[in-house]
Amino acid sequence: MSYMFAAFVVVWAGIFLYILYWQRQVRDLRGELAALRASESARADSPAAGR
Amino acid sequence: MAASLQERTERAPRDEGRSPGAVMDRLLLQPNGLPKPPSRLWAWITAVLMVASLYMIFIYAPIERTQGIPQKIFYFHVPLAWDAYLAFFFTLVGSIAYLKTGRARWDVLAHSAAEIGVVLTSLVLITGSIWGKTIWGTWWTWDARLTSTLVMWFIYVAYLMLRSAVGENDRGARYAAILGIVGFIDVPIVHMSVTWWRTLHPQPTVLNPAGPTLPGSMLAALMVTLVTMTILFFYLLRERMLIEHLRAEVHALTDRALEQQLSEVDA
Repeated sequence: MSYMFAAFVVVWAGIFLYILYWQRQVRDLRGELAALRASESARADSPAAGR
Repeated sequence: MAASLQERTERAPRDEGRSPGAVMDRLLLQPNGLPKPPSRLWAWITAVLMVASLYMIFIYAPIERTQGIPQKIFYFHVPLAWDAYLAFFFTLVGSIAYLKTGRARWDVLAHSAAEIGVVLTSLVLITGSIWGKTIWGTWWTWDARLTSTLVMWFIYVAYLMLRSAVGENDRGARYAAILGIVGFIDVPIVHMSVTWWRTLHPQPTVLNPAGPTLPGSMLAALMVTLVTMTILFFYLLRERMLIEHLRAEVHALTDRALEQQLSEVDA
């Protein structure tokens, strides 16, 4: 019985931790992209960009 | 390097024809060429099916007479193995298509599927070991099925290591594509190993030439879990492809920002 539960925990915990890790990565990457885009548009708007 | 990163963030419209590539495009890509994000509906369907699978495994399916409760590990182990085969098949398809067309989206597919396949094969090996300990009395034996599965795991771990060693560029993608094609040779060997060699591992119970050998209720539980795991696989694949695309966009924007800063310093 305990072995069966061990297998059950390994499978579902493994898959869910994998998904949680990805969701965190998606959130971080989206944040990073937003920051990069904001700094890019700020640079484009700055007077130095017109030189 | 900059050119290859630009190519990796390509947004060529998806192929709307009838070829296998077009079918794959419609399954995984939006009309503008971006990977489809996993929808909430998809996530809910997967979650509901997971609950249904648990019901089928623990309540609907009877307890097997000789093995007892540990036999229920089979309902996780077999669908995970099926998903791993599917993942490596997608790596094969993505690798062939990348070498043929040079389009980065195929490489993203191959890479994403390989990573998922490695995680699933790890779970197959762990659940198999737990089952082996209860039934055979040992965690591991150098049986043909177990050994060929371990070799398959090593091949695709090598694929991921190769990618991280060579880097995210065309050269790395080409080398990985070759390994993704050659490595797939082991997948049918893993599947046929129980037929070709005398093994401790049980014979196929569903894809048996004489027909399924499982009782109807057990077969139904297995089928529900197989469908659930297949849908879960596509959910994972979409999410993984989205990450790969976001990562490539971050790299491209960072490169552009650096180039601009350098040109400002020069001016």
